[in-house]
Amino acid sequence: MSVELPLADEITAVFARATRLLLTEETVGHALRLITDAATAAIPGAIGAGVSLINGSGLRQTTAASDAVVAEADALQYELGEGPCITAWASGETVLVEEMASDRRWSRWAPAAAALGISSSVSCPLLSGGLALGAVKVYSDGGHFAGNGTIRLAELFAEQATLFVIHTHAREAARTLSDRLQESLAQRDTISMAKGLLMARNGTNDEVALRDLMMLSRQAGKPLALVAAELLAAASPFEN
Amino acid sequence: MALGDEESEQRRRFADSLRHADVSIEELWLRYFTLGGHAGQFEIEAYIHGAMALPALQRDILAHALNERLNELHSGAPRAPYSLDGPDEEPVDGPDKESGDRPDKESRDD
Repeated sequence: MSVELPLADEITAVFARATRLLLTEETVGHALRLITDAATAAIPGAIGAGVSLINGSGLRQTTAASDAVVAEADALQYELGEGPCITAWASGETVLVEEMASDRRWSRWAPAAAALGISSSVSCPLLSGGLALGAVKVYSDGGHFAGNGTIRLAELFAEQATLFVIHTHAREAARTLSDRLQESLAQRDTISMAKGLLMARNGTNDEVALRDLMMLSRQAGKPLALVAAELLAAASPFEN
Repeated sequence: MALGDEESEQRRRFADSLRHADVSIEELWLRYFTLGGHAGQFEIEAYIHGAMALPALQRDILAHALNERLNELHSGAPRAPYSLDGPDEEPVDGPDKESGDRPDKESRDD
């Protein structure tokens, strides 16, 4: 049965417009890249910065890295399953590595990172409502990061990155809702038409018609939307 | 507006059934809205928690939405009752709604 659904079409269009108010995927990716560039430029001694997203099942993904060394050092953390970003994500605390070559916390990753020319790093978790979404990290190849100034700056960049990541999640949720809403409106429309059919047929009001539909649904053990669709199909001159 | 006895009993049994339905308030509200329900999600949530009254028709649409969910799950849990069911009637059958003899409090929620 094909039925015109002007209401569903209209609301879907409204939703699409509302969705466009949200940033596009490219915009969010670009924003994260800007944050890593800004962190690299703002933090004294920084050679590069990156943003990693880590989901609930531990799957990790670097979504923005300012250069190849950052991407490689990150990839090593994920391969080895250890490193300051993973610790920051798991603990929810900022992790500072002042002297990479002599750090004993990550026995495999730290020497590998030192071999890439990284001398120190700072990793901050992306925190939202008690959830850790990933981490922002900044690497240095010469000087050694120390002091609260560096940590505070890195944390500020992490907060910015968190906002953009939350935004991406909100956009995905809106897209899913839009599909579900479209389906809901189509069924609501079918039910509404079936009510009208019963009202005309039985000379009743819409409350009685809806109660009739609920009763038919209960008696047949079928969902109300299906009962409504069957009533409309049976009444349609084109389908008999 | 305080909940009347019948509404209160219907709400209590609704809440019992809801525990077996594995469905969020948001999803339940969307199902209720799909069936033609008029109340907002806030009102539905308040009703479920006993903080707000709903007209009989809206309560019944909500009960129907929940029961369709329980049917999907093939759940053996008791179905949520409808306002026109007597307290001892089987919830699933019987055309118990000849329009002449409803209790007056059910017929004026329009």
